[in-house]
Amino acid sequence: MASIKAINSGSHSKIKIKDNPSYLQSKDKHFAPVVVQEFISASQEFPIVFIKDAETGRFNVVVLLGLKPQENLFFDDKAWQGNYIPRALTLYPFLIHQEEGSEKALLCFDEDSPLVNEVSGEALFDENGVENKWLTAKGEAVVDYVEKSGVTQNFIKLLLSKELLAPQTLNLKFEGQEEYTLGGLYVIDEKKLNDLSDNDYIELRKTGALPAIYAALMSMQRINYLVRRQSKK
Amino acid sequence: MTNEHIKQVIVVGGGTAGWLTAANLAKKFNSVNAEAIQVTLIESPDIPTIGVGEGTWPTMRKTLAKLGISETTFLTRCNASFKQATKFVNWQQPAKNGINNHYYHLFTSINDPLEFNLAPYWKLGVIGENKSYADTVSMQATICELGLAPKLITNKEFEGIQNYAYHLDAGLFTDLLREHATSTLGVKHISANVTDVNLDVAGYIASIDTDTAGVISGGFFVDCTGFKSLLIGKALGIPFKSISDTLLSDHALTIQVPYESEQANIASCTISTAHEAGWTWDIGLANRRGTGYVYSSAHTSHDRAEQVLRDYIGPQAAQLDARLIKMNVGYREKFWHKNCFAIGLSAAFVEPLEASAIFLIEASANMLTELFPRDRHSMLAVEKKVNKSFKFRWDKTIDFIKMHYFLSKRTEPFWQDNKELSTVPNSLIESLECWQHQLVTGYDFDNVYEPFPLDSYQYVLYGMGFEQALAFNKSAYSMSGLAKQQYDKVQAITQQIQKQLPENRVLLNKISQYGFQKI
Repeated sequence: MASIKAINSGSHSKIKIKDNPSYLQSKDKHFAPVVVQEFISASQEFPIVFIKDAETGRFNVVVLLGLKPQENLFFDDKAWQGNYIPRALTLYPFLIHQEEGSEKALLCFDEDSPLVNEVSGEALFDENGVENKWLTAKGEAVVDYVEKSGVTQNFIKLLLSKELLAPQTLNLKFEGQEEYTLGGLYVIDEKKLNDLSDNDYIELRKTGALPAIYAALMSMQRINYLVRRQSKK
Repeated sequence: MTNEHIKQVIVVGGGTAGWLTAANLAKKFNSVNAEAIQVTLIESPDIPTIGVGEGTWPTMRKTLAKLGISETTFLTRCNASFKQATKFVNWQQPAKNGINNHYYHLFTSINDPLEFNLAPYWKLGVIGENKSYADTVSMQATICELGLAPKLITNKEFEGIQNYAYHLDAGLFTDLLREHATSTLGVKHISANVTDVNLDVAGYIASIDTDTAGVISGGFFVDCTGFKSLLIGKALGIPFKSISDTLLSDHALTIQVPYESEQANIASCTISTAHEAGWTWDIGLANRRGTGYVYSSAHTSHDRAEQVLRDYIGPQAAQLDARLIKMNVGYREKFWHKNCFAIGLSAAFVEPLEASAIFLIEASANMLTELFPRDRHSMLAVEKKVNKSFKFRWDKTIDFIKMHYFLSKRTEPFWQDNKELSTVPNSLIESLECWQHQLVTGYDFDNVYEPFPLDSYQYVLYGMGFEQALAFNKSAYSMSGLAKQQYDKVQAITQQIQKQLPENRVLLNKISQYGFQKI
């Protein structure tokens, strides 16, 4: 279980954060969130798909890390087995918490993370209780990511308003195993994209959405790559 | 005159019937296009609309989707909630030592009984021993007992894990339909009182006189004026056929009950409870419960009836006002006459036991849009079809409602009188005689537009404890293996699904915060 705490020099003066080369928090995750600004890089490695948040029904965009629930094909105890690392994975165990209706955002971390200790890794604060540069940089990276998430949400809204998303079910069968379906996935509908009116298409171009849309479309080819990886296991 | 194309439809009356019909017509005609047939609705600014029942059938999901109203908008604007069944309490017999009995008429069955009917296997004791018929064939009664919703926030609009309909505030629904019909579908809205209806020499309606909007003429008129029946009754003289000798209830008392707390859960079904001289409905909306007692004034006094309703509600009722409604049960001898079609209360009214009112409005509007005649000449054939179809649907609805009373083992005078053979339609007696030693089959439903499907009959018949002797032909039901397999499947889903579905209140809160997705 995660225990999310706001960081302060009083309670966390001795805390250190270990290096995380394997992105261990992704071990049992078959997807990871992505932001629209990293679509092009991520599309070289992973399928980019849209899924609904179980609590809100709202759309999020993720990369598939595996083809079975709770199975990450890129995870290895020693090092990440891919060329690209979704940015969200690099922020762990930090996150931003914003009180509803409040402007103020707090930098928090998961106190129960195995990366958190008092012996090795980067210290959050120096002996005088002053925030270390490493922590400041982490904080900025988290803030930057939250902003990019906002842009990503607008991108998804734009796709929905043009009705460009469509449900996609993956029927999968691996040797010696029963066929199963990976459902609840949504992808960009290429036909609907091609059928858009000129005005709608120009709107996508002007908002800068086109490169991301095509990156997501092309990333579908990476499903075959995941199938090959899965078969080799 | 007879070959002049109809260019203008006038809907008179602005309740649920009027606005649903106008919206359906305008959608079908594409009335936003100036070339298309136009739809005008005349609504009195003075007459309050009667909220015809607050329960729908699952067909409403299709109707809303067709009209282009989002489910999120509908649910939040109309204080609507999900309805998955009607729960009939104490219909079979009165409560014994304070313990109620009940059965469910559900919307979802795992099997289509027309393909493979589990009923004989249940009846013969092969499956579902000690379980009700409803619990044998469906998980939905359990879902209702737990107050769960039929879907998740991740299901798209109008998509259900369970089949479902709605409970809605009819006044708010009318407001939403009015807004949508006028702003999006191209319906013209005239707010004025009808002062006269003018007929031409052939006896067709030519125009309507109004107090503040002058004379309004059109080629076709829809009478949605409610019990007043200004067009089909008053102007065209089509008589009203009372069925009060079959359905004995003639009054309803209603009380709106607030929830005990704002976050109280909401029932998943309409709760219909039998009492000494009638029955109460209990309908959970998002913001309140609507309750009412339908009773026969020949069998109880209004004061006693009010006491029964207040006792049902409990101590909360002390602060609440009751409203008395007189019910004229029956229907017009014709629903369509010349260039006028009556839809809603102007056409017919039966007690809301099976929430048929809004459903039959939808059915009327659908038939009118599908068969809309080009001119007076082609109108004659449509008139015949519509009258035949709706006479059939109302008769079937009346039979089905009467069946609930007829099968009851209650013994108060009201219930005794309801079982008096002279009050029971022959068609119902004939069916029940067959069903005493025979399953309900597809042959009992030779019309595509049967209002109630086979499984509805089975839920009510078996729920009421109807005796059906199938043993003489026991060997004919030879697929016990398959029946057991289906039964086990239902039981497994029942266990699994109750862990997934949220409570109604939880889901409605999420809907108002996040809404459903369109895909």
